[in-house]
Amino acid sequence: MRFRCSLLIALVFVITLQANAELTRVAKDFINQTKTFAATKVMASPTANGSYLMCLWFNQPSGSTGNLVATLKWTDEQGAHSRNLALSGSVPQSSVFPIRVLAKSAVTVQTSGTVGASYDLFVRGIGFWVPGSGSTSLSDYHTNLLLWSNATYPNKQTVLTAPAADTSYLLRVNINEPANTSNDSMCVDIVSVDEYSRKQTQTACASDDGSPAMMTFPVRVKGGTSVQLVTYHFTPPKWGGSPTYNLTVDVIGF
Amino acid sequence: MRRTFLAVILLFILPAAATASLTEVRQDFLQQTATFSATPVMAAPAADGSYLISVYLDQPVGGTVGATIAWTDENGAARQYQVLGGTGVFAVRLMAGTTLTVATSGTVEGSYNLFIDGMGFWN
Repeated sequence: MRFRCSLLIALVFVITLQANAELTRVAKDFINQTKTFAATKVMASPTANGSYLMCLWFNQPSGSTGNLVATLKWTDEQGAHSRNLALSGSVPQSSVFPIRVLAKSAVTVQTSGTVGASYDLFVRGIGFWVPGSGSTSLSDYHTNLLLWSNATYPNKQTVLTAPAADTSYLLRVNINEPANTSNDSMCVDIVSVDEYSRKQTQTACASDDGSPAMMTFPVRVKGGTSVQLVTYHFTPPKWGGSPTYNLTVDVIGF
Repeated sequence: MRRTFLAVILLFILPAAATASLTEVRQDFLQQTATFSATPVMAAPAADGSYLISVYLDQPVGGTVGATIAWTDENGAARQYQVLGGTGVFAVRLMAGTTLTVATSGTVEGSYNLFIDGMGFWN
């Protein structure tokens, strides 16, 4: 009897965990491209209308003089749509696009403009589907500083360390603090290293009027390096006691 | 023998647990011909939670419908953002026992679709 109960409990856990299967993954890389390319499908056409969250990450080596545009195209229930992401210089560009995709229609990406030495374009996405069996290939990481009352500066906290290969992530960051009259606004820097070994920093600052700061962005992380965070006071000195703030960092690995 | 069998079951469970902290939010409002007032899009969580919420509003040319998502954060502060046609992505902190709602306003041209998709992140 005890054995059957244990088995039943185990199976209940398995079934619950498999509920994640409705989240599916889209991944298409265009690495070391030396020419622009025409519309190319980034995923198989869905059999039913579906919702996706698509991330584009666009980068070129330091010193490369390319001036490029990547265009994501899709068709929803109302017709055709497109969004552009421009790249010039050595600052990588990224964006997140929620899209609806009509059944049997294509989602494509294409590039135009002038190529420098080379460029990389990474397309990552998540499909939202009705619950099914199986497990998702997405991984996730979380770092929360809840009810924190001190800046972490100058110490950095590690959110994740990428595996040996360069990896794409989608980050969700929220920092907030109660409204206060001390004009003390807390900020967070999310620091990582891209595939060309360049440091990337994204910053969000909570407002002392109680408004949260929210960021959602994709990053490309060099293999074996870490994504780290540091919190600090917007108004120097950066260190020391702070209003009680909440920082949540959630990451999806593709 | 039974212990071995249970151990095998647990071995299957453990890898799955690594991805157990992503949950889905999904609420479709299809072929709407009128605006609607604040409507919950998910069940209220038992603990404060982190969400990534995507709003996708799809309407014919001429429509001026906007969607407003609203929630209460962990500090008890009411938050709201409006998407005026098109899309938006929001990093939401939601207070335990409260929910995220969506409402629409504006002029409807024929009909419109509104899709709320997202993920909850759990440790």
